[in-house]
Parts: sequence; structure tokens; C-alpha cells
Amino acid sequence: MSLRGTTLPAALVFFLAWSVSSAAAQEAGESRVTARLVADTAAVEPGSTFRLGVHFEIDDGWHIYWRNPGGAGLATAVDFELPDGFAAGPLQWPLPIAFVQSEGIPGYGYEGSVVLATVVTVPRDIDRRRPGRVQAEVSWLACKGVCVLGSAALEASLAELPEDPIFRQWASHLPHSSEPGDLPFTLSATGGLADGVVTHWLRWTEAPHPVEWFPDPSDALEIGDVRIQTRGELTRIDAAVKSRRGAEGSISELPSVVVITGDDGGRRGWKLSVGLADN
Amino acid sequence: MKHVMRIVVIVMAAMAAVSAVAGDGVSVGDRAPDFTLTDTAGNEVSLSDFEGKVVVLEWLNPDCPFVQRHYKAGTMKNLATTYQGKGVVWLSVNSTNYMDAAANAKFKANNDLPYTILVDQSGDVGHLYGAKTTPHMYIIDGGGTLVYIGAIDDDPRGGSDNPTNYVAAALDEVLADKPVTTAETKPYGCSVKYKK
Repeated sequence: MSLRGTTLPAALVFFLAWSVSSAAAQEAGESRVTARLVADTAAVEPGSTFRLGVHFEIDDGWHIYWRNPGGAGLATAVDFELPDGFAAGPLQWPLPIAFVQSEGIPGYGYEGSVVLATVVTVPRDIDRRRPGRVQAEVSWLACKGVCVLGSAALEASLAELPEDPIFRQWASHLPHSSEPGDLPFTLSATGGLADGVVTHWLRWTEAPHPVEWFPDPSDALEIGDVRIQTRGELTRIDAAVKSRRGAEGSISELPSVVVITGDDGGRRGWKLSVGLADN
Repeated sequence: MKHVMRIVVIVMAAMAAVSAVAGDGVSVGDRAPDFTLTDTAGNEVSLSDFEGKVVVLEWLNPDCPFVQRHYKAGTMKNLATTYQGKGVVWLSVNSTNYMDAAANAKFKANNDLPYTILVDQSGDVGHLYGAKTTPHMYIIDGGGTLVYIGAIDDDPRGGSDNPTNYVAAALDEVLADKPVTTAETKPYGCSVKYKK
């Protein structure tokens, strides 16, 4: 996944902004997935921020992948191109679900629908009537027993993107950061790379509902068996870890997301990070 | 009697746990476990048949778009041809549960492959090695030790103008009697479609 802002020549922006577009958000479909550009505002104001995303709609029974696809698969990629002066933040990944890809091979991803979005900062000197066009190069792997690669080149005029209610639905699906304060748990860790297992201990303020755990992607770390046990207010997550010999990347930290599901079926998640030197 | 039943249940649970761990397969530095499979013509082929030689194991599934991309580009065939000339043995293993000898023979003929495809419909050898993706690459040195496990290259999306081929780099080092610098990488591709 990468995000980048690039410059469109001014004359081209001018032309595109005035060109007739039949759809505010251009749709592109391929294989088992449809992708379209969405925004959370209809009016892009100078100096403001807004969310720009790609809404994926996935055929029944098929899945696409989280930033860590698991034991196999491929992370979904969204590459935004923005008008000159606009800046995009990191891609925001909603809480994934876990599934078994094949015998003994875990997978993490999305079924049904998902929005992968970023917060865009608008420069102060834009023309409100002609804020420019945005593009997104999108690619994914969709699987349901068999796998199909898909991609789409999406483009829309910012002036024509409507405020999409989909964002209200997806805002609650993002993981919370683990800043001390309002967390419903305290986190400690034991073990590490030298032990071959790192254990997350989460002591919750009240007994949690089913707990799931999703490690972030890493070229340098291999995550093996994961075992999650909850007794009362204490959850223990054991993850087999080892470093890949000669592979590039950090092996000092293991970032992840922990997710609980409430009685109403609603899921809440928090970003975690533990050190991998002996804890 | 109740006591005996409980022991049986515990033993079965322990066996299930061991079985799950077995799926983790082999690691770099391990001695490559021997296996015997049949090729597309029904001949038995064992890893031990190639004792003393450098062997590449390539997990494949002709239905996987990552495998299709590499076969369209000639990645595997070119690599195998180049290194077979230097004494390296290339064995493809297909652990796809629904692909029999005939299906593999058709793929071999259609692509005019200069190497053997071994049929592993049971998935036993795939699980033995911990193969997770197609492609998933393993290199065994002349002493029978695993010296590389991982991806074919550093270009999962196929968009790089100049990808690094990890297998070629590792084979060059092995053939020069040097330790493999990048010995483990994260494999990418479709999940191996194991028998349930």
C-alpha cells in the first residue's frame, strides 16, 4: 500500500474540472469486486480536511485482504493521486475479520463491503468551484476457494463527489489508538523473539466478549501459531514469533490490533504494540 | 471408566495440537525431510533420488493468478533452464486437492516444462514442508539442508521494472559455496488449496 500526492499540470486540472463527467464517483468493476471513490464532504473547503476513500463491494462468499493478508493472499492496495498542494495521511484500515484460507492457513480481510480511506488536507489557496480531480489506483486479490486478481483506475472531480453516508457507517469500524486513559484494558507482555513466543496479557475492566487478534504485516517477522485464552477479565494471547533470516524490516516491535465483539454483535478494536526483546 | 475416557480425550486433544503445529513445516537450517510422490507419468520420485545435488522445490497451482503470471512471464521455466545447466534439480509440487496427474500433465505439456511436476493431492508433502502459498519456494543444498524458504521475488503485484529474484540470488550463492544472504522471505500468492 502506498499513498502519494502528485501534481497535475494546472492547465490539465482546469480542463478536467470543466469537462463533463457523467458520474460524480466513477465506478469500476472487475472480477468479484466493485470499487468506487467516496468522500465524506460535498464541499472541499480551503484549509480544511476531509476523508477520501474507496468503497469496495464484494460478492457473497468472496473476501479481499487486510494490510496483513495472513498466511497467504495479498493486501489490498490503494494509491491516491491528488491535486497539487493536497496531502493524504496514512490509509485507514477498518477492523478485519479472520477466516481460514485453506487447511491451517489463517487469513485476515473483509467480506461484503469495506471502505479504505485517508484524511486529506486541503491547501488554503484552492478555488472552491474548481478544487481539482482525484485519482486512485486500486488493486486487490479476491478469493473464494479460487482467487482472482482485480484492479481499477478510479477518477472523480472533487467538486462533483457528494457527501457519502457510507462514512458514518464505517467510522466506528476503525481501531482506536492505545493511548493511556480511556482504555478498557491494561496491556503487558512476556516472552519475545528469543523465546520464540510473545505473550500479550490484557486485563480488562470487565470480562470481554470473544477476543480476536490481528498482527500487522512484517517482512522480517514470521507469526506462527496464535492461541487466545480468556478467563474472567484476563486475556492471554500467545503468538509464535521468529525472525526471517536476511529479510529486511524491524524485529523490535510487534504491532497488532485486538478486537472484541459486544452482545449486539458490534466490534471494537484497539491498536497494540509490544517489544520483542525479552519482556 | 470415566477416568479412562478423560485420558483418551486429553490424548486426542494433545494429538490435535501436535497436528496443528506440524503444519508449520520446516525452517532454514533444517535437514530437508525426504518424501516420495508420483510424477505426471505415474513414476515414483523421492527427494533422496537427488542426494548430493542442489534441489529447488516450487509449490504451484495452475489455477492461481500469481502462478499464471509467472508462467506467462516464463519466470520459473527460464530460471529452471538456467540452473539445470549448472546441475540444479527443479521439482514442482502441486498440493492442490483437486488436481490429479492428468491435470498436471496437461499443464506441463501446455507450458513445455523441462522439469517434473509431483502430484500431492493429499497435501501430505505440502504440510510436511509448511507450504502456504503458490508459489512457495524452497532450496536444498547439496548436503540436504534447507538454505532458502520464501517468495520467488520481491514483486508480489508484478509491477516492478527490476524485481529481485530471491531464488536466483540464493542459488548463485549456494553454487559459489557461500551462505545465503536472504535466506527467508515472506511468501506471497494464493493459499495452497489443501484437501480438507
